[in-house]
Amino acid sequence: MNALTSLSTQPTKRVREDGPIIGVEQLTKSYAKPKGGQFNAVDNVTFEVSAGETYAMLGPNGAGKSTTIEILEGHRKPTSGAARVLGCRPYKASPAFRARIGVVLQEATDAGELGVAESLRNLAVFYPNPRSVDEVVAAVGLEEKASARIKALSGGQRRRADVAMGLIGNPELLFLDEPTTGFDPEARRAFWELIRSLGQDGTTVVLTTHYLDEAQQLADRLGIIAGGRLIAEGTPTTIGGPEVRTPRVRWTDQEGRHEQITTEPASLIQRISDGGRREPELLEVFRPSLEDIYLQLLDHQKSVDPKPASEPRNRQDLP
Amino acid sequence: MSSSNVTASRSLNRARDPDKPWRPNTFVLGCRRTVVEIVLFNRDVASLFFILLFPILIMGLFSTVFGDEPTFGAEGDVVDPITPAQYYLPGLIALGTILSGFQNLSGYVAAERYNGAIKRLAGTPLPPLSYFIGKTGLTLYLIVTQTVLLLLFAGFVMDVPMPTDPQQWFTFAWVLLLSTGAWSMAGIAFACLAKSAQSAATLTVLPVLLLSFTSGVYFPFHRLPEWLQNIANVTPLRWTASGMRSVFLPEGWEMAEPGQAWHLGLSAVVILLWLIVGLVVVRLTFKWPPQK
Repeated sequence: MNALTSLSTQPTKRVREDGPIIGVEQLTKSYAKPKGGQFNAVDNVTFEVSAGETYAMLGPNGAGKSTTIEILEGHRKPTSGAARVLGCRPYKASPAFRARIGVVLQEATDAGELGVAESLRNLAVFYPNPRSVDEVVAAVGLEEKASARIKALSGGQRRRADVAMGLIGNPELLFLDEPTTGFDPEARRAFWELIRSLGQDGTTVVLTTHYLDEAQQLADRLGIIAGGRLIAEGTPTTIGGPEVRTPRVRWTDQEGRHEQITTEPASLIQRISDGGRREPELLEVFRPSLEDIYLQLLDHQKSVDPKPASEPRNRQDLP
Repeated sequence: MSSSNVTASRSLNRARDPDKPWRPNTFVLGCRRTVVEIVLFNRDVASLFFILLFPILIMGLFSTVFGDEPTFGAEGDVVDPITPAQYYLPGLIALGTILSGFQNLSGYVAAERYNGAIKRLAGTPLPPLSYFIGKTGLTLYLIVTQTVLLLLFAGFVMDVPMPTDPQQWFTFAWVLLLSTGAWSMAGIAFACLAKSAQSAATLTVLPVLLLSFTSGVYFPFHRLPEWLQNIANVTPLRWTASGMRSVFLPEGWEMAEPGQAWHLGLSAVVILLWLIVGLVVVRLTFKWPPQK
């Protein structure tokens, strides 16, 4: 994805629909455990995504991100609760619904014997208003591999081909399940540009990721999922609430290493430096990064909720 | 909602007007899928040899081993002996129905259930029926190509006499299509019940191998012990093979069959039953997309 990466098939911005494009209410997906009992892969999750928004779902492995996104794609039937996407119930929705969404699955090893452009052409005929194959190939930076068989691609290239297959139908709503796994840093940045250009175009994007920087770069809003529950939701700059973002001051003196959380770092420093007359060793002032906040929220979740119950938690940072 | 904004017509025209919902053309997309399926199949060299050309390979092999003299006679020598190639032709055509129907579909459908191919298609507007039309098209392509190649090889290289009575060719056609259909259903059902693509690939070989030995493909059916005949009698391949023998073996060979007759009606009933049961199992087990 060196040469970049915008898709210009839309003559104008899409007209945004009023109200949420995705509405999820008390969504639960349970599976029977092999030894009896049941396990809630998604547990009473409620959230909304507005038209044109880029929404990121973060969470550890097995947290329920993929199950949630697959319910929204219509690949799985919810056990209880409601999911509405583009005004439809996605499970067993009509082809007209599927023509409006694009799906990039978490893992796929199919179509290995097909060429990149060939597989895109094969998919394009399913849609009423597909994008041009050449343009999509260029957007994911696979021009040089357009005629190569998919099985001959590297892991990151294969993933880009998957993304291309999700874009070919010119979707209004794009689902990306861990899209950048296996990308090198340059490809990841180019991919971010691509997603941003889609977002500017009015395409709604829902993605799952393990990469906090990716969420920070792309998401208008994000939700953190752990143990099947949405434990926090907000924008990258507000999620977790103001408390977790309080500045921290670290320094070292004869008594050892100190770290203090304070809303007034300047006066704290003035105090420990005796009004600037003494330099504390290894002094730093920082605000927790999204990653710090994320880990903090997960830790907190584990401590308050070692065994998942089925009551909804208070989500932080909601109006 | 579209009246005020002309410039945005492109995104509004798509499938949004509730009065005229966009619908894909199931049949046209099925034909497109057929082309993709055939292209993909032809790129798989192993499948070309073990499915498409396998009957020819076996016929060539047997003719090499047993020679091309008319040395194969029916039990009791009631009729003139025939060449090994003529004797094996009906059995190998029958073998083609299990290869093109069962072996091909069980392998590919199982792989597509587990490698994400079906899941990917299920995320597009492609109707599931179009997927099945594609599989049907591929299977037809396989069975027709395979059988035509085998008949050409038998007729022109092995000098096997071909039937001249249109009635015979009619029997040939319905036995071939019905059997392939029954085996296709069995193949897809098998793929849906398999726990992994790998186990499907391994287990697929078993019925093909066992049934071809118990159905009169390689050995004369009447020489099997009775208990084995009884088991084989409930499987479709045995009835496909006897139906094909009725077409390609000279008059008088029915004396070598159980009951001294071809029993074509029974062939139709058993094969049709398999087709129906297979269809029901597929209807119940095939999920679009596969559910974990």
